[in-house]
Amino acid sequence: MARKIRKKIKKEKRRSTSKRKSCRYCTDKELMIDYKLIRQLGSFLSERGKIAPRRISGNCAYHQRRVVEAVKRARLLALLPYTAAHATL
Amino acid sequence: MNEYETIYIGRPDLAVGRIEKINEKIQKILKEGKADVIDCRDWGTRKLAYRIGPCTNGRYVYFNYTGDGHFITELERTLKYEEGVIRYLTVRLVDVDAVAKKKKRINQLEEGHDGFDERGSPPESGSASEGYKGEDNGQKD
Repeated sequence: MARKIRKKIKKEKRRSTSKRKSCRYCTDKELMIDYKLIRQLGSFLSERGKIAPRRISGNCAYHQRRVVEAVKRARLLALLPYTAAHATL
Repeated sequence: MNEYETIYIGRPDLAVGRIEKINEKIQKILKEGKADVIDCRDWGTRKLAYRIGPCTNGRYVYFNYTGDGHFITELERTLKYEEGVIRYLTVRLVDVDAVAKKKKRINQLEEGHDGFDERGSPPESGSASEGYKGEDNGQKD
């Protein structure tokens, strides 16, 4: 009986996940994705310089592809780091 | 006709006037390729996000131009063999004409017709349908 209750509690906990973020580029149509806008793209990078996945950034698939492309272009031009280990301090 | 952007990073320790010479070379290639230069900007010396060879700083120069891209191979070859240039990147921007066409098409679909009259002939050939005329009027408004 106790097991059943525990299972039930676990299921309920799993269901109560936080609300999914909406894509910021879909909500604000005027927002542009550009490899030159470093500050904007920097918000999608982790401390180590990794690109945040969709479940964290909240972007839709279309805009995530554009963001990834822009970050990679910015990295090539040394506007953003590939990894924090190589960053010039 | 497409719009392009080229950015190159020059060495920060270049002699005075060297960057201007590289810019002149680029301008010449663009002129020969019949490209229209929209913007040419020197971003100045910036800190690089990571070390490239011995350089921790770099001088960024930005070009924005339109044209058919046949001269870009020549432009990139010039930048590749230029000793003062560390990195370069050329990007094709979204085709402006294509975007305008697509928007027009979407508007037509939203208004409940696809730009073709009842007989199935496109609006340009023969008499345009009423719906198409209406769409034109709507755009003027």
